[in-house]
Amino acid sequence: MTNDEPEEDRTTLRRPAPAALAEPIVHMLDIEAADGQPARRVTIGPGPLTIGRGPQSGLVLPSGDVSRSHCIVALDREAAIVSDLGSTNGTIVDGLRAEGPVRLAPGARLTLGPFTLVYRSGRAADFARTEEVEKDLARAGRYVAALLPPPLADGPVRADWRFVPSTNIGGDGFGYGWLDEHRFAVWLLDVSGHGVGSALLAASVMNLLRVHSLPGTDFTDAAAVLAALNDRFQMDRQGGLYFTIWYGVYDTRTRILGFGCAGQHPGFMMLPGLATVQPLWVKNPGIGLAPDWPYRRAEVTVPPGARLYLFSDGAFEVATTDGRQLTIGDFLPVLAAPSQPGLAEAERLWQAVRNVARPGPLEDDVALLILDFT
Amino acid sequence: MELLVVENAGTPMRLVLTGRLDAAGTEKIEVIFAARVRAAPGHVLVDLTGVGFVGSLGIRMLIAAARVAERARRKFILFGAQPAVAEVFNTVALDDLVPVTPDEGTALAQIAA
Repeated sequence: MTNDEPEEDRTTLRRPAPAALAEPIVHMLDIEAADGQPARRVTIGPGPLTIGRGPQSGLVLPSGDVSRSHCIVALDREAAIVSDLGSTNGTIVDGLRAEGPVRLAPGARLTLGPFTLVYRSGRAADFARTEEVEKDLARAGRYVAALLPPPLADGPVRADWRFVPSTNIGGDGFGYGWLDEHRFAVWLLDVSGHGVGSALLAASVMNLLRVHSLPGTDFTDAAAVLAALNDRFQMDRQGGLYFTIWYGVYDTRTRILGFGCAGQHPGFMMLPGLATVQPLWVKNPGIGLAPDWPYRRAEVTVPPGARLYLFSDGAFEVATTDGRQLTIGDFLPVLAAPSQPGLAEAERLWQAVRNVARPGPLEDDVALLILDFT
Repeated sequence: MELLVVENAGTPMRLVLTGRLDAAGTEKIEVIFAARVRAAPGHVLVDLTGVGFVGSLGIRMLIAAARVAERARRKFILFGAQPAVAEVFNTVALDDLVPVTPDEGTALAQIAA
């Protein structure tokens, strides 16, 4: 258009840009491992999802405690609604028996017989990110587990263990080995918090203890080891993380076990012929909480046939099916109970932990270590 | 986990914790807890009578707050721990690092001393 030409009124029509399509919400049920069934995830589609023992169910849960047609989950706009179908044992939602249709909040836990189903909703991309995080946590757990020593079936000190990392990886670790011809070191640690950070610190300490890499430190002296660890791993320099540890050294010549605790609950010794366990504990703060702390140690004589139990707090700080929170006092009778022929002691303890805890993944790592002294 | 701040003129600030000081409970309040301790005009009492559980991150929160108070030359005293919590404090030797008293009266007496 030039200045000589009359101006034209122009009206420009612009077609509105297509509205950005909101990513749809997806609805899932995470079924926790139980009754020999592996963990799995199922999608709740647009149609109702029937759940029951019967083969005609959309989601089959094979257990005699699940009714053939147990309940139904249906979507109502953006919400999921669960309705019990007159099941024998009821559909439990977050601990309460559903008496009518119940709207599920994200994270709601449904209990059907031995099975726990966790309701989740969100955008598909968010689920993908969460799955990646969970895979990273599982990798971290496998790495820590790879640092654990093999069981010892022979020799003056025999060792067996069970290690079950939690889904959130809790920062447990342990190890043992000969310092020289006569002295055997054993330790069990627990880093504060959960997650990859805790696992990283646990792995750092485990690697250091495995190769005795604390310059100038006498690894046969429990107090010296704790002091050196405390000097190396002050909380302010470890991202706010600290850890507790039980460390001991057994001398085959004297049969003396010298040990130290740093913020950890006791180890327990079972003497042959006795039905009770003896706590082995020294009061010291956790590693990293107090600079220059004068760590203390103690000693005990180990008679032939004695057994030492070391375990993480994940073994006893469990929630039961009836909602109780257990403490170490609830675990001691398990230690003192007689061994079962044909069942490894570490496995016996692990089964005891698993049986008393409510169904589903445990909230913390479980580390169980048993040493037998000949 | 809930945090209630009680401030009365002439008395130490009282931080009242209620619930479980587990990972989730600690995460919920630790920033505001630390901020309150940092900004406290004087000594600080922490009321634990309503706390049924303290985990490792709760321990860290209490120790970190005690250090803040110490740097400011203020007393920081925990009181009223339930038996299970007191046992945890003993196991981790928290009571060697931070003053712990059985009740508020004893805590106030320590502040006055």
